[in-house]
Amino acid sequence: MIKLEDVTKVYKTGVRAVNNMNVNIGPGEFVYVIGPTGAGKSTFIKLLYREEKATSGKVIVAGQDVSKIKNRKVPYFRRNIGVVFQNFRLLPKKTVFENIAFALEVTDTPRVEIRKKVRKTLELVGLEDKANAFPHELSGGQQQRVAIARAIVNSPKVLIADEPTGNLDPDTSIGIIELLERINEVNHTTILVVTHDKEIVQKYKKRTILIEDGCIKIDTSTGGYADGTY
Amino acid sequence: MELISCIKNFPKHCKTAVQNIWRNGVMSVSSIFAVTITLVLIAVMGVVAINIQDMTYSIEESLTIYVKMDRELKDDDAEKIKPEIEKIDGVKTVSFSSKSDELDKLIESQDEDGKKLFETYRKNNPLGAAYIVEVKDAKDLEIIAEKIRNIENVNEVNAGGESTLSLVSTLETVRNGSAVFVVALTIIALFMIANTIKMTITSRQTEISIMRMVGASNWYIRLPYMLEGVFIGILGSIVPILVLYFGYHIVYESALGLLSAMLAMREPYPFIWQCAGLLVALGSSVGLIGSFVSIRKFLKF
Repeated sequence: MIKLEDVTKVYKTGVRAVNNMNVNIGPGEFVYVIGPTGAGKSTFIKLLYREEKATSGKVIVAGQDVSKIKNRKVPYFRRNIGVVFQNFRLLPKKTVFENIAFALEVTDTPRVEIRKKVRKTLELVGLEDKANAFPHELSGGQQQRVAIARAIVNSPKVLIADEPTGNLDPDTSIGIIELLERINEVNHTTILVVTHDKEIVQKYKKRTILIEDGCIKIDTSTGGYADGTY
Repeated sequence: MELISCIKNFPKHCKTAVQNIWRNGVMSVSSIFAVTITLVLIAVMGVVAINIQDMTYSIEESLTIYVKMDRELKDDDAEKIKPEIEKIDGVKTVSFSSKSDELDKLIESQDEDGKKLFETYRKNNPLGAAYIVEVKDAKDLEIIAEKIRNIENVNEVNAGGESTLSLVSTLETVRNGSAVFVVALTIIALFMIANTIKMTITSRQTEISIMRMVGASNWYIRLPYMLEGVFIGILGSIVPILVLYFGYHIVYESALGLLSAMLAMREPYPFIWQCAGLLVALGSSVGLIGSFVSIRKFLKF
């Protein structure tokens, strides 16, 4: 589902954020990406949803060679990927329903189907009763649920979560991670979670990738932080 | 494919645009206000400039060349010269005034005593026939006068002399000056509006990045903003049109008694509607172009 071959990313400033990285993530996998700040985690996922272009090497996501996608076609490629951010990034002037529906509207989904899918997704994330609320009326955890709902409503093959629990308290964080797990189980979506939260990684043991200095230091399928490296 | 999607979604984009204007409250109001103020300025200056132009033209039109023929020349012979004058480049109309017409005019201009005195000349009219020549461009007055002077049997040609020439050049300057002023003002106004729209769009940079994130194509993002610009332009032109409508009526009616026919203002209709149409077009096109240009830099991948 996600495949990186000898990928290097050097920014215009000369910073080598990703250095000769190789990784392979299969369909339906649930993967944690961890590592210290400035290690290249963000660049890694930006390469995946084509916010950045690799300087060299091949990035393949959902069967497409990402670096070969024309600028004009990027929006269409993005429809295959759901992205969730630390700061939620909801449209503040739209209601919860409209926020989630927006991801479907841009793909010209018929209105009836939008309604059906949004309802279903709201149920999945447990916010049926908040459909008409505006984002600022919700708590952080609820906002993140809306963001997740928006990311998965058009059934993407890959869901990327960049520090989804970074702004949330531990209890809420657990709820969010459990939600992501449920999505992984129910929809068989490939999920990548970038996180700093040791407890979460240790509690829900999954494949974990440790990135340091732009390289993959440890890639384990047993989960948990490798001793002493972080 | 993108185009079809845009057309199909047009009503939705319109709705989004209206919704954005409504939900962005203060920002929208300030944009509309900027449009309103600049359009009022343009409207007032434009209307004043157009009327000044009209007036200068009508003054210039009233400038004529007075051609006196030789006194001995009979009316019939004098009339034969008409085609010769008409042939001259830049001559608009030539009207003939016979010997007796000239005397009538002279008598008319005198007081009671004079009238009686000149009436006695009726039988033996000492005056020559005359031509009144209108020219197309007042600048050519002197040149045409010179050409007429060279025609046979012409006794005297009067084009008004130095003062007329300087009047013509002054009017020319006024006209050009006001046109330049209006154009400059329009350009400034357009920049002001475009800038305001740019500000409102910059404040929604996150919104645009989110739209891109969920896979909205560039045109899908752009269209509602462009429509929003158009709507703001149209809303902003309402007040200027009202100002124009009522203001022009008031000024026109009060000027009617004050100004002579030569300096009359333009008829209110269809002038007001033409200006109103122009204002709406100006407001909405600036909104459209302004938002198109400002959003461009946020749509680069």
